[in-house]
Amino acid sequence: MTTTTFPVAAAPAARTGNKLGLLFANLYVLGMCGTIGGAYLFQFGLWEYPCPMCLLQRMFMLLSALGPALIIHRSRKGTVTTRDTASGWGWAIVCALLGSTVSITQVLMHIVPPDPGYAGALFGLHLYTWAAITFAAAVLAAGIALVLTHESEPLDAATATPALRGLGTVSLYLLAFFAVSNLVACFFLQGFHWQMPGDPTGYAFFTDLF
Amino acid sequence: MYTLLFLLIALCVLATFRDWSRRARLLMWSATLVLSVLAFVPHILAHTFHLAL
Repeated sequence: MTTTTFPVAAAPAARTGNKLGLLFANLYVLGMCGTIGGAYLFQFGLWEYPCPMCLLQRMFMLLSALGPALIIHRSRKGTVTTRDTASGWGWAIVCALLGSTVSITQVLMHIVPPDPGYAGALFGLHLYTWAAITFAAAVLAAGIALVLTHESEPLDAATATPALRGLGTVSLYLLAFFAVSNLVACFFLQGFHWQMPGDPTGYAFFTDLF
Repeated sequence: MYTLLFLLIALCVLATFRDWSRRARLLMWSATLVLSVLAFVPHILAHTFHLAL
């Protein structure tokens, strides 16, 4: 029996658009991590404890970053299919939209005067307002990336320059760091209680212990 | 409850970095997302917004 072989099309060479697409994925992950990092400054620098809805917004930021993180991870290993690229950005949009509902709900909870809002403000806006802006920007960014998938998908491992590869390492490690550190911080904040108070005043694990 | 959700998110990150099968990874991601949404619902139901929507 003879075997028929078909010529396999060579993978297209990476162009600037493909590199920029990979950079964009990194910036998305770093943007989400940076936002959570800003919340950490309030939590650990100013001792302003995150409320349950604040924690939910962090969750949706982490979940949203998973999509581009998958794209970055796949691009380091081998070929990133168009399917992976599209589903990664689509996932980012879904999570960012759901996260924005949490942020907007919290804005509406405190919008009626004379409610002073929850916790401190940064440049005149509370953190949940900044989160709503972040989620809106994330939806726009991921949507643009989806529209430009054909021009900007990372293709394969050869797309990344050494600098982009290093940036990818940083992005993925940062995402893992914020996922694990939020788990630890939330455990200390909530302790062994199933529910959290709406306005936490301390780390329940330690206050229960001592 | 929120600790468990963050644990699930950490597992989602693990599923991404450890190259789980597409089916397992999407199942993990989707379950975590649905549970996060469900955790949010009581906050809307329990709150009176005093807004004319």
